[in-house]
Amino acid sequence: MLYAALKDSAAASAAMKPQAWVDSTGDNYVFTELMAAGSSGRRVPKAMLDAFPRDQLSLMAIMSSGADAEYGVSPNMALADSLSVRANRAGTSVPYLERQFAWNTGRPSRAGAMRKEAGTPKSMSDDVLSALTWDGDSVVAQRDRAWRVVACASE
Amino acid sequence: MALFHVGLWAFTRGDTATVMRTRQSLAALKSPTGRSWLRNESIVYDDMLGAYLAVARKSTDARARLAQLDSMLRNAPSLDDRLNTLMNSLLADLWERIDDPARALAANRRFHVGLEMGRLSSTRIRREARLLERLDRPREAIVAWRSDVALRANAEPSLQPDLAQAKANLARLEVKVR
Repeated sequence: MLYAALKDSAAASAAMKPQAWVDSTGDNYVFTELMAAGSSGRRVPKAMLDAFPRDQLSLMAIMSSGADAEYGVSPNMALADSLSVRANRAGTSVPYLERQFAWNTGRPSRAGAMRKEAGTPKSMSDDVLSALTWDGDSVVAQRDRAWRVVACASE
Repeated sequence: MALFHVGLWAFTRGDTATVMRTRQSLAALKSPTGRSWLRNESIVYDDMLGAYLAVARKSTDARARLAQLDSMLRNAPSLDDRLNTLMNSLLADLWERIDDPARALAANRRFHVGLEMGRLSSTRIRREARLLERLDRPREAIVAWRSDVALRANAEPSLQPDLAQAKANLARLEVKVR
């Protein structure tokens, strides 16, 4: 429903000129358009990417890569990568979000390297969420082992 | 939240004694005053840890615990979107473990798109694909597997076996629906 609404809104705003992308209430049509492009796999004009608020590029990369399987759309990885690169070039990359982006796209080593670069300590919550949610081979093995241990201890 | 993570941390290491101690600490926390209509988040944390233990131990009340937790997550007004997304992801995992794919799928779909963030997203999509296959909904499963394959197209070598498996699942289902 969300994406369907966004697509409708994006179609309506597609013909608008860049200066009209922010309306009187502050709603950002660029955001809407990028969301629609991210969910449909469409390419977006460079001018639109340039117009997007730089401090939100990392978040947009995440959202573009967040495939919405429920609504039958695929992630636009080309757009997501482009936004991520732009965020880094602009110096507005949000390390936490960029790590999530790397994690989400199956690049856990990259995510780990970024965490070291940022000087962020490996936290307990990172480990916990990794163990519970990540489906990489090694973590799945670790997670399953823990389940077996708890099950055996109670028998 | 910190106590909850300590409990989950202990669980992932098979340390049930620490999980139990954490639950006691959570239970000892006082409810917020003046907001009695709101659920105390510590109750949800405690219930989730209890559910993990019940499922892992194959307790006879595991299903009832999950049903109660499921109801709470659907109706508790005080949980913010981020916490709700995380808890429903964990609940979906538990429903899947006790072989209830329909409820697992329902919990898996209760997420906030703006706050979900990366790692939960990839997990959710793979789970969605698995569950739809189990529920014999191949056309929807195909969509989910396609999303997963697109998302992991440039995955690191360690995850290439996962990607290959997803592609194989996708190909099999595409043949099935022809």
